[in-house]
Amino acid sequence: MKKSLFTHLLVMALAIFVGWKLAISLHNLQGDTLKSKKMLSNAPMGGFQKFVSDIEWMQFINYLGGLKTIDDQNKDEVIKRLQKILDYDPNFSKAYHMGALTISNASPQKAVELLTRACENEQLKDNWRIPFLAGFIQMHYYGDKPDYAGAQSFFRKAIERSGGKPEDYVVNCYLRAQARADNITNSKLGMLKVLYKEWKRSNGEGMGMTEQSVVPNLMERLIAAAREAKVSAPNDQEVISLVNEVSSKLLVDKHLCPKCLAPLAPGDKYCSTCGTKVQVYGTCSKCQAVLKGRYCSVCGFDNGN
Amino acid sequence: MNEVMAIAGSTWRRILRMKVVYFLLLCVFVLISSAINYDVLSLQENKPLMIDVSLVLNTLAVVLVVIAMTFEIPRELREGVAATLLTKPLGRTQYLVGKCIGSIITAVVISVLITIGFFVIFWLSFGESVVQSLLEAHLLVAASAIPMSAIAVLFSVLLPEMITPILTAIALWFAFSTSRILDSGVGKYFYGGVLPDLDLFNFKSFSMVSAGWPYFALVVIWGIVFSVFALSLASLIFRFKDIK
Repeated sequence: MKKSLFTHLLVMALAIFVGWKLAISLHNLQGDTLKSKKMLSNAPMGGFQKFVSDIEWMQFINYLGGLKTIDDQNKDEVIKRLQKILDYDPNFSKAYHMGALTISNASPQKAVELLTRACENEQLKDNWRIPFLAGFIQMHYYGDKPDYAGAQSFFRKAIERSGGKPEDYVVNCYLRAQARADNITNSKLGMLKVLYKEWKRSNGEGMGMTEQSVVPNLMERLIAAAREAKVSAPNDQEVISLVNEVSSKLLVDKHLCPKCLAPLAPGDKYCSTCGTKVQVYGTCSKCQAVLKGRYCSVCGFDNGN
Repeated sequence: MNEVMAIAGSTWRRILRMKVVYFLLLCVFVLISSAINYDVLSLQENKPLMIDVSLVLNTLAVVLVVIAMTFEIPRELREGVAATLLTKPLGRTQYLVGKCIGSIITAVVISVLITIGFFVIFWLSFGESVVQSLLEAHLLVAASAIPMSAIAVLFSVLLPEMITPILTAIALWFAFSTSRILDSGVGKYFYGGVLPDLDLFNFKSFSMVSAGWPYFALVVIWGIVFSVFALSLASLIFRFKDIK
């Protein structure tokens, strides 16, 4: 009897110790896998949080359907319901999108707060629409005091999350927010200034640390912006000055017309857009035929040296 | 071991022969299928809804089987069936282990049936095949039957018959929130060893994130270790229980 009792107690003690150690390890492992678990509500739901969130979501849709508008009278109730849904399911991306849009007019700051929380969610780190929406609300729904710097930061995040292929409108919003944040009033060279600043930042020029540019095809955009600025304001001194600075720094080896910045083809003696005489390139140094490779296809001269 | 498996076998065979079990399974499949109609009410969230409904119903089915066990042992004690069994060379510990294993097998079989049915319905509804993370979430629900059954057996020998099912259900409910005590001082030493954390089996809330098969294996091992503790305690209490 005593031996049996001792065996029982020993087995229980061992099981408690091993179970305790294993449970702690599993808890940590689960926390590493489910990073957004710490954002879950503390309410004891028997593990049914996500299901409850689905039910709350359908009730929320039903509730919104009965409202004519979201205003100061009902916005708190809408926010409270939305908060509940997201507390039970912090990965519910549709609730973030729709919910933020729903309350963006009545309470834009709260909408951005919700979206900021979503941006911090590791499980949603590939969702670029969430930071884009936050930036959009900050730019357009903040009334007299839009937060361009904040919007720029969100748009940047949206571009970074786009996996290297951001939508054009996202990039344009980012550049526009940057221009507004820098108080650029000259609309003709706003895009050029912003792109040039982006280039300088990515090359560490006078901006402290080098930061990789998030704008895809930055050089092509710079050339296009410089061309457009020159064409739209050929007599604006500020435009001329900036275009010359950009051209001399970045566009020297790009084979562009010095006057209108149109691209030049190998062998061109004059620009086909504005007729300016240009420096010829890509021709044989002996017979001036356009080169297709190292050796001239007309005279056979070796242009490699 | 043969006696243990005989007890287990009689338990799961008796439950799985009941027609009401298959009627309940049919109800589960109907409820899961009905989620497809909620596309308008949920703004095209009917697919996640169907997944969540399937996981919830799977869990509830496992819990129901486990709760049924809390009626089983007191009934056998009351009717003298247990006394008859225990007069043969069958220890009280083996009896309890057999009951626990029987409950686990029943719950796992029903859970697997629900899982298979769900995947068929899901494929017919959305044309999508089995995703590993979803399969893991369902299998974790099935595996949660291990500690749940042990808890049910422990409560059924510890508590009076009238309140055992209710207290077992409450205990299982709160066992999903045990990890909160990790932030407390002394409480964290009871976590996992004495107080079960059923949330370790809970990927329901995150069923599109894969736990990985190593995690699955470890959590099953934890379930078995906890069951050893619970059954040892139950056996110790049962030894001193008077069986007429």
